[in-house]
Amino acid sequence: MRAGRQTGAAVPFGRVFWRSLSLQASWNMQRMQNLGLLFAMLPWLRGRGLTREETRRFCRRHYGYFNTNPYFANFLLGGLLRLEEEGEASGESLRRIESYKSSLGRVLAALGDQLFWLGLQPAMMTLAALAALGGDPRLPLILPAVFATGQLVLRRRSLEVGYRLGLDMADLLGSPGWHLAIRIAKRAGSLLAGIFVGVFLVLLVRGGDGSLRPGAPAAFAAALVLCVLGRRRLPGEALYLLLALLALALAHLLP
Amino acid sequence: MPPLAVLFDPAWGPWPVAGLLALLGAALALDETAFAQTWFSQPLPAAILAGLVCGDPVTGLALGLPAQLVSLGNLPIGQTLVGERTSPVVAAVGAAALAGHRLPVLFQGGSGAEAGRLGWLLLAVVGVSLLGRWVIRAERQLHFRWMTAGLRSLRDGRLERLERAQRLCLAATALRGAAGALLWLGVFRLAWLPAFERLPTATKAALAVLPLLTGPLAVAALLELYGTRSGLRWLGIGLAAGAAAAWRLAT
Repeated sequence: MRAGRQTGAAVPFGRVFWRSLSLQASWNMQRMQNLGLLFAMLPWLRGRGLTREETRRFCRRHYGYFNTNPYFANFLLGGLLRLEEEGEASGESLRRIESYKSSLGRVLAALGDQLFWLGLQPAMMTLAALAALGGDPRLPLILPAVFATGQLVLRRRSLEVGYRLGLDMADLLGSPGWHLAIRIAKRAGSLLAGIFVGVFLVLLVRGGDGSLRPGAPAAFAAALVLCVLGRRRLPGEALYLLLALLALALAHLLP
Repeated sequence: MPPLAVLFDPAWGPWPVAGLLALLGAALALDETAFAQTWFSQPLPAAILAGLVCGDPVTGLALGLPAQLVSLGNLPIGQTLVGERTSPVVAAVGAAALAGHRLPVLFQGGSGAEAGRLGWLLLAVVGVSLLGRWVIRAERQLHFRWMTAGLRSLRDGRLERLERAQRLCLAATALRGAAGALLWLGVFRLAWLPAFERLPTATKAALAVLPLLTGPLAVAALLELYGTRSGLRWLGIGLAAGAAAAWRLAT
């Protein structure tokens, strides 16, 4: 482990953080988040007092392809600022920065996508839907508020952590805590999904007025089979429109 | 008189609420793809927020719940396009509230006509969301054009051009959200909702069932996500617990 450098007082973490929130704003198919990354780094770059030629070289380094998970991106952003500072001081090869950016970007993208998009988001939205089935509009608003607060704190702190660790981010990424968090999020999602199915089925069978509808599970199962088969090829919206058309046609054809 | 009350003065007509919905559409479009990504732009919270703006959060909840279930498996991983969900949801809630309809929440009763109207509006929301994929794709092409304009900064070292390109992208997203919310609010309020009254009775009855179809769709998405061996175990435990608790509560 390298000794942590006591610098960073000159890094405008606050301004870099606010700009980093718009990392995805200029997302494009060709270079993805490149403009967003450079936009976030500009307050730091302006404070460096670089020559025009150095500024051009800096922009060229960071205007190529870049993509990572937005919630974990600040670990990388902080680390990049640190490496840029070290590169300036020591004149070391800038190839190291490029390899740091691409390899760490891929790892953080994989971890972040697993944790946030495949773990937390479906779990949280299933919980919100469960609360909504009870007719209460408060919890579906409280959940995103809690998530928003947590992720903003994470993104602010991870900027400084990334800067402090620099190349040592690899040690942090090796921690088993990441995979534990992903496993917990996915298990919570599975459990909540099961609870949602159970509650939905009971409500379907009992009806809004409490009367039993014994045919409902069979109808649900038939629709579920169609959905499972259809989801392999179609997005949710298209599948829903097809199901709706089928239901409307059946309503007119059946007596 | 509270300062915001003037916005709801009948003398102003629907314009103040429409303006607020446009602002909300802009903020949520930014949240969905461009800035912070807090998940307030998910269909359910977005619809409740739109309902709050119109003074009827329950109508927002009623429309937001099935809309959320339709898109539960739409995850923005990599280059995946998840549709443009926020502006049609905001517009549909606004149109229903401005027309004085109180949409029923799934399984919470409500009149047959209002349940049919919910199904009718949901069809529109889902259709517009699907079309929105092309809008977002076009917007990303625009991002590319502005990004390539920024390449000139790599020659002359002028950083303002890069900042302008990024701000243009943010502005385009906000404009898409605001314009989409206003456009669809007008279409839903003036054409789509009145068209419901002219539908045959059998169609209206069938439309009332459509929101229930979002359940199996959500379950299929969740099975796709959690259908692994260990996931199925937890899913089974949850199913038993959820069904037992719901049955007990219902009796």
